[in-house]
Amino acid sequence: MQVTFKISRFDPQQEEAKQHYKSYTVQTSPGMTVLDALNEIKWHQDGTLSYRKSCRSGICGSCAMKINGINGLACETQIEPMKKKTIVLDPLPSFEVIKDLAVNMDPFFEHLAAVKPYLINEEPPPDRERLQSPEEFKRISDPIACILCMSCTSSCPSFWTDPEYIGPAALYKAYRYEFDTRDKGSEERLEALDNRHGLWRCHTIFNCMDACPKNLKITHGISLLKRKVIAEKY
Amino acid sequence: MFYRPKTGMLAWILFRTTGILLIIYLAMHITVISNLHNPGKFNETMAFLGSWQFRLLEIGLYAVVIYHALNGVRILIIDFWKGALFQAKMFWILAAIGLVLFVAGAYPIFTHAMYWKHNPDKSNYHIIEEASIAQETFLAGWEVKDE
Amino acid sequence: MSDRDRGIRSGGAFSWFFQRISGVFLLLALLVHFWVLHFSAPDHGEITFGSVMERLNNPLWRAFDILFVVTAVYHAMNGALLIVQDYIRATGLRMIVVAGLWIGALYFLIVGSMTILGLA
Ligand code: HEM
Ligand code: SF4
Ligand code: FES
Repeated sequence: MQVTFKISRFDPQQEEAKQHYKSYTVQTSPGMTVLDALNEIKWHQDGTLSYRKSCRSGICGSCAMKINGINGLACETQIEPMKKKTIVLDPLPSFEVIKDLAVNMDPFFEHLAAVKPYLINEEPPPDRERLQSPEEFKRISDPIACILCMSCTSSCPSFWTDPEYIGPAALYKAYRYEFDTRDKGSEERLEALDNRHGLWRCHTIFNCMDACPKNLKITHGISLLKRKVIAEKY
Repeated sequence: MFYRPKTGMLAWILFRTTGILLIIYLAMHITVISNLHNPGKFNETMAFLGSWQFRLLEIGLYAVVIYHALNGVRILIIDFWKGALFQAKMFWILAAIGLVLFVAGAYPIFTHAMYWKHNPDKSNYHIIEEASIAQETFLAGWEVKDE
Repeated sequence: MSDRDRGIRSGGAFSWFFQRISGVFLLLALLVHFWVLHFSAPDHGEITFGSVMERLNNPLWRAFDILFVVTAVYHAMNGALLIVQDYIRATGLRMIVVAGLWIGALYFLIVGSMTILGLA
């Protein structure tokens, strides 16, 4: 199959740098992913193309981009099942483009840090591990699978209009610790969650869950967090 | 910036749009009803808005209300139960329910519209005297309450 | 809270929670409202001063309608604030729009209630 890739290009070092699209044709084979096609283009057609990648197996979270209008991982998206003659690739929406498909990830990690994504527990450690029952673990096993690819946060219309919104990834990470029976950091986290750039900016639009390459139940976690805060306040 | 909408985003865009339309309608509605302090003017306004053309427009309003109300229910199920796990399916189920409610409610509105289209002379809006009497009773009732 | 929040109360939990509570009430109230005034209405749906007054002579209906108007205006105002928060980011413009919304909300709250009480 022959597929045309229409790729968003932007080079800040060029004078009058302007975003534009450039098309490349790639001969695909069964099982070939969007990332394979990008490699094919970079290695054999145009070495100036920039994008992020590392693991090429959906675990590092580097290669997220907008594929035909919806966020996802380049290395987890197979080309032929899409049955498209043209595939449009854009950088993740709402983040500053560094070059071509690579964006500045700093704001994402700043928002993540704001929810203190680590176990907070001042009690002296017991002799052995802090144990959890299988049921207790089940509540947090879903968010643990997050690979921090930014697909969700970048797909959220609330984030598009409010860059200060901490976004679904950070909220789901907060859920992961708030619902961890070993964690005692609720009070410290509340400040980042209970405000108009936190939980209450989420309008249950579901772009995050539709984009998440790991099919995580992000919005459900956010709902449970909202309920927790409401139950404590009212 | 284009982002391909899926069910959830579509539901949200429509919800926001219907919310704004309802605000505008609410403002107009309160303004029209405020004519109640003047029976003649109220009946005059209602005669105008009760014309069959406006009654047909009311069917559109009914659709807007149904959408906002049912999607509101969808959001409540997401917020307070596990609706987030089947929100897209829920959208289409509620759409089907909405369609039934729409037809069921649009039918009487439509038949009323057709009735007034063919019988404009049957209208009672000109009976202002009766209305004035009713208003006096109403105000009297109110004054008794006030004491 | 940053500068951008000026003109909008901070927090958001209350606004979120009561948007839902008022929504539930509006759902039930609208059901009654539509049934009584549009679907089961006699005279081919003709609403005259007389027919309205007949209903409003019952203080329970008056109480219901007042509650209805207050809740609807609250829900509409709160919803409008949510939308303003999302789309109007310039502080100055946002303050003007929010002030306008408050004036509008109070105006319609007063006009609506006064109509039902029959005092205006
Ligand atoms: C029929 C019953 C109703 C229900 C169950 C309902 C429910 C809701 C809910 C749950 C929200 C919150 C959405 C969010 O936070 O993302 C909402 C928002 C809103 N509602 Fe309603 N509502 C109803 C009637 C109305 C009416 C009569 C109006 C207009 C006067 C209205 C105007 C709005 C507006 C403007 C918003 C904000 C929309 C947005 O944030 O996108 N609603 N409604
Ligand atoms: S929740 Fe899903 S979409 Fe969001 S960062 Fe994690 S893996 Fe990516
Ligand atoms: S390259 Fe690691 S997730 Fe795609």
